[in-house]
Amino acid sequence: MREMRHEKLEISVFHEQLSNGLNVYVIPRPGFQQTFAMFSTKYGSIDREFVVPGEDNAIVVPDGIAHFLEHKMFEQEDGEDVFNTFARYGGSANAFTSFDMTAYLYSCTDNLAENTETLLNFVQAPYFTEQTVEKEKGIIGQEIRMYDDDPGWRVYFNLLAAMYEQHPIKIDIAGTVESISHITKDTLYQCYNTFYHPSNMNFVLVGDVNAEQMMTLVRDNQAAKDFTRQPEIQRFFPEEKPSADKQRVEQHMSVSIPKVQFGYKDPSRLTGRELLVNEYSTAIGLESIIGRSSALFNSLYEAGVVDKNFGWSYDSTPNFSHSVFGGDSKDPERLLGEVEKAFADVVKNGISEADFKRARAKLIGRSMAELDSPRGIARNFTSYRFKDAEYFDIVSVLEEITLEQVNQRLRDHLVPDRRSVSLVLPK
Amino acid sequence: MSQFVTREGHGMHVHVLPTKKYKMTTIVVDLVQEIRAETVTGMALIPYVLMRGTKQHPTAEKLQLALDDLYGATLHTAILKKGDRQVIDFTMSVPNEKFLNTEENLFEKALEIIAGVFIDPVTENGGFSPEYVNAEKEQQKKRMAAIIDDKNSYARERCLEEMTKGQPFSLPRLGFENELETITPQELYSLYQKVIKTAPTQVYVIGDVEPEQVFEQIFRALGFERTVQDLFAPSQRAHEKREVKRVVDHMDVKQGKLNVGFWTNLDYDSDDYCAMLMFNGIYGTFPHSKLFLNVREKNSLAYYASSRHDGLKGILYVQSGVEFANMEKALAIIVEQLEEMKKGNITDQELDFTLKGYINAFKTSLDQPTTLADSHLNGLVGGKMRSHEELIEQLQKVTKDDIVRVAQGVQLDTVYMLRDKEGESHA
Repeated sequence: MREMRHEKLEISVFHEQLSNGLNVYVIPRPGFQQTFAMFSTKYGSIDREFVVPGEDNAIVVPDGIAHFLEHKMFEQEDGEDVFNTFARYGGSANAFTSFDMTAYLYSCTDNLAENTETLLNFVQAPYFTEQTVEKEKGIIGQEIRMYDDDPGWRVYFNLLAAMYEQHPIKIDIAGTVESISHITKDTLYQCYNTFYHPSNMNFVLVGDVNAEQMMTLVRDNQAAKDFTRQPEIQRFFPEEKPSADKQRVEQHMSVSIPKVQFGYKDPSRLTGRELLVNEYSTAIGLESIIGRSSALFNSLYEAGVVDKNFGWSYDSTPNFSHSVFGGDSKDPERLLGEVEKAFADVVKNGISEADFKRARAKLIGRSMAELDSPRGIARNFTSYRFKDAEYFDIVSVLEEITLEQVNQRLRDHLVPDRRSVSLVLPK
Repeated sequence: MSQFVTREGHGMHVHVLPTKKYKMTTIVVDLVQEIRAETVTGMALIPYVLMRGTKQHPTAEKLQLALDDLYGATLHTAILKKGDRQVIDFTMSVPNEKFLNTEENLFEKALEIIAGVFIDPVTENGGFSPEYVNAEKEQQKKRMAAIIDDKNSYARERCLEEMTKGQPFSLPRLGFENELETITPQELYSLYQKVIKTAPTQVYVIGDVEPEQVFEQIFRALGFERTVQDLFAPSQRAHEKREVKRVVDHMDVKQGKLNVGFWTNLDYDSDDYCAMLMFNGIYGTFPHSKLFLNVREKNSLAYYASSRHDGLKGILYVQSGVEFANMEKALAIIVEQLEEMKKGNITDQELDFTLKGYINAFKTSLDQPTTLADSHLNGLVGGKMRSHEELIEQLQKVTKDDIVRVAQGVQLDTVYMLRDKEGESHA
């Protein structure tokens, strides 16, 4: 077990890679009541084409299967629902699937060992039957329908579908009612056997715990199971052009006010500290030009063109990167026009030293705020580990970023032909 | 477990929770009023007008710049509905400077900002700035209209509105659009002056702070002459027994929203309060609950089916999203499961899991500063303070007979359905 100390933040990370390849991280947070643990695989909705270990050719699996698999993991061979097993120990369990990871988690205030064993054991004991797979189609079908009626969700996925021509990020994480109809217990096992090997997974635990004890518990649990080493997983992604596939898409729904999102596709494909520098220099730039205290946001707010829910985000991964801006607007055309002008101006002239410093301080403070949530720590730490980046380095990376780096990033990122616009309009 | 240290002065109650576990410091100011038809619209507008600027930071942009300069401190104002009360809420979060490379006293500066918003808003001719009031009226109209965009919460609000028609509780949280027009900046300002001088005021500070110093700082920054009037009409929890009210709205949606409202016939300060919590947990709050099990797991009718308990109003409501054709079937299960509980069909396992689930939830909430403040305020509004320790102790004493007794008082009142336009002619 190795300790990585982040002195200024008063936080330590204890790490060990077990012999089966599993990376285990324990992050003590004294004083907190809850312990939050997350057992995650680097496998999400974008992993649709890959080679099953032991086979020769790549297969393409139905859209939405990673999420479907996440649902089905909660069933156990003895017939007991995993939620019940956690309930017995007072643990609260959940799971989620994103573009590039699937996570199983619990939070608890008692019975730490039992809850941890339960989490490790159920994720490593898949049990699917044709009958239970069919039953799940009804439940997930209703989950998909719920998102169909959610304008915020629609405007976002329509934007991704416009930006990307080939990349599977354009596909809804849960798939469609049609695509999930093709899922069988055999395809679920193929996905499970490929992606749920310990060497493709992380276990992260945050709470007021003794690191050595927790590490021993996980180590012993894994040593009792029979995992042979698995070679690197072969995944395939289609070639994606740098420009936006479609400039603009629209959908009509029963909403009171137009929802607008726009964003820029970004060719950055980075990992490690480079990824953090790229992500946070972009973030400082975007916060400066359109964050809550920017002149642009405030002129749009004063004019009633946007409200306070307007925001921006920048996602950067080894596999895809893009920014998204948006919110509600009674006048999307004016919003888009003014933003376009302001962005062109900032690409030409850069942001000021004062705006740079303020945005940087703000982002430092915001990443500190996340440290008060064991859930936030576990989630972000895991996600950055899958990108080979160190979550607790963010503050030090932010402190090192220069104005020149930010202005260069804005020039590289805000390229007009990489922009797409998505609108959800009232019927 | 640490508790709030309370000091009274200047017509305020200041509650301080010193703890070393957070990197941030949280400040909450709550002004409690009765919800009344004459003032509901103005009260709901005030929090937004206050955020337009203070004497020291006279525009929204300058106010935001001041917050960003404090390492991204956040300040939100909001209008809350708690039973038959309306609360103007200020919530601020600021990093503790000891984890940063700065010499500034961020807490002191944060207090200056919140004091400015609270006491020193921009005024003109004895009223709020007409420009700000008019702009926020426009934004408020959009917020009112946008309630319909989120179908889950729209359906919930509609159900509760129909259920409590004629009572103060049925007044919409944001008030009425037609009354916005007639409010003058002077009227709004004098309403606010009355509120800050007379409303019971609770201030919460949670973080790595020294209580004596905080009391002194708060009284200095926020203190002025107040004559508190706290003789409110008691919350209305009694009601006429009537035939079940059925309401159907039609809209262009893909999924039906089924909402069911029940009266609990129980006061917040009742000795049976914890029995009602246990009832709600077994009925529909946890993944091991009867609704989750029977609506989702056994019949695959929904992705979610859960019950919530509003103890301040004595209401229990169920929310679910189901296919239009299955709405009656889901409703039948929801009603049938309540009947099962009235008959005493409650297992020892349900009791055990639910008790452990609540203990976990209550202990976990001790990790969230805003939840700590909120549950303290609920105790004040509801007229009965229960610490988390007391709640846990009382939950442990609840027997199956207690739960059956409170279940028998639970009375189905309103069934609300939001569905597609197809069924309109047959409804």
